[in-house]
Amino acid sequence: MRASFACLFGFLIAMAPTMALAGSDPFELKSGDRIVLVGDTMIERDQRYGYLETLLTLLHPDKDLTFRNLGWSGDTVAGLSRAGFDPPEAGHRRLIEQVHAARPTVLIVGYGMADSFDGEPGRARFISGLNRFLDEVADTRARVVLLSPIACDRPSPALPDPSPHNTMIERYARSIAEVAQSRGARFIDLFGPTRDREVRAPITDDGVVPNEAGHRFLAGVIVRGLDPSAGRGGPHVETKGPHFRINRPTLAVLGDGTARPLIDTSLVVKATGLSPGRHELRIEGRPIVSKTAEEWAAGVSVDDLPDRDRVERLRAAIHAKNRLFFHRWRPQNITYLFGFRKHEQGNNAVEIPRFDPLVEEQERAIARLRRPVGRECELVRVEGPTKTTGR
Amino acid sequence: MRILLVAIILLIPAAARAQRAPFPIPDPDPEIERKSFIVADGFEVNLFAADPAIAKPIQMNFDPAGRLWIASSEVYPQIKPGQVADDKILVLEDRNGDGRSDKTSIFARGLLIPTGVEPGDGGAYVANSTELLHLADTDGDGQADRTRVVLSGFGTEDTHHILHTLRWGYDGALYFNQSVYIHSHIETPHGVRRLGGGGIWQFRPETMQLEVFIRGLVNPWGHHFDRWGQSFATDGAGGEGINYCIPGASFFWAVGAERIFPGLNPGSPKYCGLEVVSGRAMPESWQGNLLTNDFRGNRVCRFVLSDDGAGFAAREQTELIKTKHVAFRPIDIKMGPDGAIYIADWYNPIIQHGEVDFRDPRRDHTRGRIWRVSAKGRAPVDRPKLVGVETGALLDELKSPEQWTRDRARRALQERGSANVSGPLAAWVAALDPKNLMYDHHRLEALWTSEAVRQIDPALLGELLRSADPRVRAAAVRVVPGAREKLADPVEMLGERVLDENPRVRLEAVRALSAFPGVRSAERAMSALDRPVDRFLEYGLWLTARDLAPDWLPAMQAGRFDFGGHPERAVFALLAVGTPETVRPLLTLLRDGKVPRDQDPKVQDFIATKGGPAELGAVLDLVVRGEAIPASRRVALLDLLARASRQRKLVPAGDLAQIVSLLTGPDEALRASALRAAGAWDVPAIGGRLAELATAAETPRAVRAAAIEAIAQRREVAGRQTLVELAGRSGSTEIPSMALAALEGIDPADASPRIAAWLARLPVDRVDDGRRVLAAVLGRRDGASTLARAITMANVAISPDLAKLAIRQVRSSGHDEPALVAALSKAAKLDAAPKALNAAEMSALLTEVASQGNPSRGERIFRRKDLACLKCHAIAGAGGQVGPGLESIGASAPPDYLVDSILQPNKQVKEGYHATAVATDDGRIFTGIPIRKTDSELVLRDTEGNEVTLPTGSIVEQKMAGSIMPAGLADELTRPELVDLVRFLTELGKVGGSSVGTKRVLRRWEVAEGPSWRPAYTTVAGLLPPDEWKAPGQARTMLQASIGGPVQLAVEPAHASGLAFSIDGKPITPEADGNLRVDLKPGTHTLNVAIPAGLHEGIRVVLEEIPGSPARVQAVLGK
Repeated sequence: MRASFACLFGFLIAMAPTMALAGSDPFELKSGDRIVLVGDTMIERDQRYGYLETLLTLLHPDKDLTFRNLGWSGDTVAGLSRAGFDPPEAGHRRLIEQVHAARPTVLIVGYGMADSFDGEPGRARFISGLNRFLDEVADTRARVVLLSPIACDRPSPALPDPSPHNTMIERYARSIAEVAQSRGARFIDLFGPTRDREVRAPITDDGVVPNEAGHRFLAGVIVRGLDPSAGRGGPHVETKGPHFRINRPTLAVLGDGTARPLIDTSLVVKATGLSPGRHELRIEGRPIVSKTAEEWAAGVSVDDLPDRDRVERLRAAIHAKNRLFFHRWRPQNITYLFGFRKHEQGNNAVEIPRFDPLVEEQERAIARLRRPVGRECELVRVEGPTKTTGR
Repeated sequence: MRILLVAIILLIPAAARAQRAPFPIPDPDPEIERKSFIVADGFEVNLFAADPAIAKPIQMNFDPAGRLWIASSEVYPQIKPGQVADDKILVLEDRNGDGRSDKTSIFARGLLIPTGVEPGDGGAYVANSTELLHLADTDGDGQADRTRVVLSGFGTEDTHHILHTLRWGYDGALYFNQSVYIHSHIETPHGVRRLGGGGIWQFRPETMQLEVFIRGLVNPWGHHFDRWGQSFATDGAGGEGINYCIPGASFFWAVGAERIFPGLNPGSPKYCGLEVVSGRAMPESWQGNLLTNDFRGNRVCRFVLSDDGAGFAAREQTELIKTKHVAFRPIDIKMGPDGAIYIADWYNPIIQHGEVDFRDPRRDHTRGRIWRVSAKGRAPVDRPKLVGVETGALLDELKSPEQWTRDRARRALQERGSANVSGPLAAWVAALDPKNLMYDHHRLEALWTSEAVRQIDPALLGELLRSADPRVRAAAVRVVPGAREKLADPVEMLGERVLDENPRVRLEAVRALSAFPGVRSAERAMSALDRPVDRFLEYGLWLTARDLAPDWLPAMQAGRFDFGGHPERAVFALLAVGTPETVRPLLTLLRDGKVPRDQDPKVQDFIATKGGPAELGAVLDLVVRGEAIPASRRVALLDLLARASRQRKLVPAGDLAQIVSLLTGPDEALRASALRAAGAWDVPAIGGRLAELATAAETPRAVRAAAIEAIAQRREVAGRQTLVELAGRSGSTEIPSMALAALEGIDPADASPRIAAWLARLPVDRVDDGRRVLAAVLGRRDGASTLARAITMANVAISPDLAKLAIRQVRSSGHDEPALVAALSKAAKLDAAPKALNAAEMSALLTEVASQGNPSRGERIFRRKDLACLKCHAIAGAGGQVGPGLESIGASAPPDYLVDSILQPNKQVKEGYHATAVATDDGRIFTGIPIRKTDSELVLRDTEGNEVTLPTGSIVEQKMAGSIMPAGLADELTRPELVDLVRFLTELGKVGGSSVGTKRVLRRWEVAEGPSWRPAYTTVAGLLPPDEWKAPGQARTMLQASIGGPVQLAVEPAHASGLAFSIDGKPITPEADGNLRVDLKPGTHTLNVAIPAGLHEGIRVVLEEIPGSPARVQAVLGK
């Protein structure tokens, strides 16, 4: 029994590097990094889908990375959505406080869509606001990644024509690229890839905010923007005989996020030396697919269902962690717990820090789930026609 | 040892129970609850569904298939660490049509406090805290399998404020509401929408257009459209009853609004939910009535709507349901597919989570009921088939007498889309019988359907704009903006309707013009002033003038536009905008003599309030030379000019010394006013006169006060010596008090020792003079602490009575001044402030309240003048407006909360009644309830009920203070008195307790006291008791008629000998039944009652309608 392992380059994503100002050298993530995401609706919604977090976690199974998502719907780089009962300037103050409290070593900033509705008159204010924000969080020494807003689309004819506003977004995106260049920060363009993407399935439901497919797509773009060589190609297993073992370096191989699943757990199995007839592949005893000996000898693409389940469990754990963290940093009833009516219910504010250990408990679960496990596989001879299990 | 431990553990819950003993938790058996209902004659109630099949229903809506969808939360009010949010959307089905649910399915779970659900588009829209979700069932198994975040960014600052009251409109838009603490920030493809505070949103899911429909209302927990598309809202925390929603209006507590539009029933309890009664299963007299829930008072209430000019009047009737069962909490009400009324009963002995602890063990998390109310002797309506039927059959349902059926049929048509509906719709309209009485209503339904599928037929719209029925014309007007692309000249179409003979059509047209930017729209809208303008239309015009200002105001400033040469339109629009830019055009109109006579004072006041130096100079010229202007007007204008210099630091341009000519006139008030203004402007020419006027024995009081004020403002050494001299005067306490107050304004460190010594000498009967000085102290930033030090240093003795009154004044200032309270207490050798009750003491007190408290005695204590409760708290709108109205406090607040509120007002403060303390750049502080806040100013209502306007630029610090209710008000009460008072409050608003009822009693009176009038309020039962007057005496009250006509005033006791009534000075002869019938013209009227000697009963007067009379009359309420 001998299994060999090789990586094949599966496919390449066409990326339109319209504003690829940043170098293509990998943006290195280190063990212990605290990656803080901050921005408007686009960032906030990823709390629910968690694709970017899932992908970065899977691609670094040996590194201890933690994530805090501080996105807030409709937010501007001046923190307008965070002002609550107070004047707008308090929103900026709170934004800075929230970023500091999350102790970032890496800061991923996704502003610009909400700001872009202020049009050309608002652009100078946006640029100075972005610089002010980055100046005021510079003491965290976090490595900064600036994302551009996406291009608006029109998934339904009842929605407004996106082209006039896209002209504006493109200007905002260019401004962000210039700020990144002037500050030596990483810039990842989402505008070009979303506008020029080849797969035309809608990535928003409303034209402006990425939907689940959109988040899947964007996670791929961002990960490639951080490291163009990340997660390329699926594993290829060659075996002589019916018994072998899969040992993956990571659970994730990147798809393109739309036509293919973002996180691709499929692999090509090429088995020779099997007896004639049909053989069923079982991974850890779980039936996956059955093919003839000739087909196995030519190589069969199979989905590693146990690993796929494991990845979904990981994504669910990330979602659960994000919800718990949300209750921690943006609790409901804040008026009574910490605001001007805290003299009434402030006694219950002691409950809020109790979410911290719950967040950490989920992070331990995430740390367990992100590591690939070796899986025993077996090709078992079966009779008669067999149906394919799985997708 | 172990036995002891066990015993202690067993004792803990017992002790906890004992502490709660006076608060009985009712038996949760639904049948016991049902039997407690007192139901309106001719109706009966059955249980449709109850726990454990459902729990904690918050909102419910029926789908076109007749299933009832319920948003249910067990997590409310706050998720606990470790708790998994698993709130649900439930679907109930009554498959055999027996009026009882026989199947409950869980459509969705894992939600976090879902507060709204509205089925549609293959699933349901769900309000889920920060998000509006669409949950879809794509495989038809009855469970949601796809979640789409439709909108996000709704605030969650308070979980009973979060997104709620989802409702499809007649127009195919989804409406939903948020409450006052919520700040929402939402990205849409049309831009970012933000709303801080309460309001109703209008949302079109297919186009993602999201707009604010109306702003304000504290908790707009009810919203519905009537048969003609007019919409109404209720408020779970405001006291205005039914609110008529003029599109774009701002209602009570709208954040940042300059002007709010009142509801139709000021002085009402708070309501939740709103439904319009319709259909064959309901009695004729109930058609079009509004139903809503007094969830605090355990009542389901009914209102009859009628036209009141451009707006409406709503009259409360006998309740549909009332009960003493304290856990009956009706919070939603809907007509069902069978024509019956359905009520969601949240079932909880505890409401609120602001005042009552999140984790209070009495809070129920699992129960809930749906009640079904039907009219006896009327068959249920056959449930219509709206699913899987031909489009033609659905269209025919638009003729249904049941609004539920029409609304859901229209929705079903909307989901089929324009391609499937527009053709059959046109054919359906063409086949309608023009002779049918409901012809135009059917056509209106068709127009709305075309609006819902976004394919409006301009020809049909044009015809309905000319319908003979004004309700149809009004509805059609509202459709015009959405059809703009298909109309040749929509502004002209609306302009014609601005001059419609019906005032509501005029109002709708004026509001619709807001959607069409341009000077032409403004000119056409303001032409409504050519016809009579009532309060509804006036408000609509005010809104439109402001909405269109970005177009017409620059044009007017550039001299390109003058409202077609109609100065009265220009004046109205300029005053409506009311920004500094409108001052100059108004001044020009004033100088050219083009301002209508009756608008003169308004325009002058406005220029003096908002003008710059040049405009203020023009006003000063007017005052100085305006011998023809009445002295009172000149005083008012001078005071405004003085205020401009104090608050905005603006001094009139030109020759200020000309004011000296006013110092010698015959009118004392004008002299005083001129002195104050001169002091504010530091006019050198008066310097020499001030000391003389301040000290001379013959100087009139008002002039002396103004002179002292002016001296203080000039801050000259000589002036200060004059004040020191006056402060030391003997023989009067008033003159020294004025001087000390002035000195305090200049230099608290110097003034404080003098004040301390003076207080020690002040007789208690001169406490008013003491108040003047103390107010000056409390109005300075470091005033209180400086005086506290001075009192301690001087070691003076102050009389205990005086000290008590002083402490009360300090405490009602809204900011804590413990040092001054301590110093005063020590100087008067008072006991330390009463401490808070511990749990055992509270329990003992509440037991006494329950067993020995007497509510009638309690009411007499409540009404005592020395306690001054009514000075700040109204009952059903009659009384002070500083604190919350108390008409339903007993039904909403647990007794322990009431005790705390009396003894420690700062412990829990009702939302909206937190004082704000503001420090200004001149070292003064102001405290009051914030009424409104704009970019340029903050308006506070102070403890006296006065509005104080502070320019934002002068504010250096602003912080939330506590309650402005003074602590220690109850210090003088004996324990039995406290017990009675609490008992009275616990009964307020309860069914069978002291509730204000549904009759329109005249509650706010004034009684003659010498030459002046003193406010007097009726008891909860509506009686003006005999101890309020000295017989023989006079009492009077005011009525406001918006539409004239005859009304009846029912008088009790009827035929009381010697009572003589007059209205506006004309005697009225009672009818044979003892009641009064008066024919009122529009406007304000005074009803006067002469009370003979020897009348020892109270009197009660009830305002009643006379059938057939057009009159719309309301009692004037307030302080």
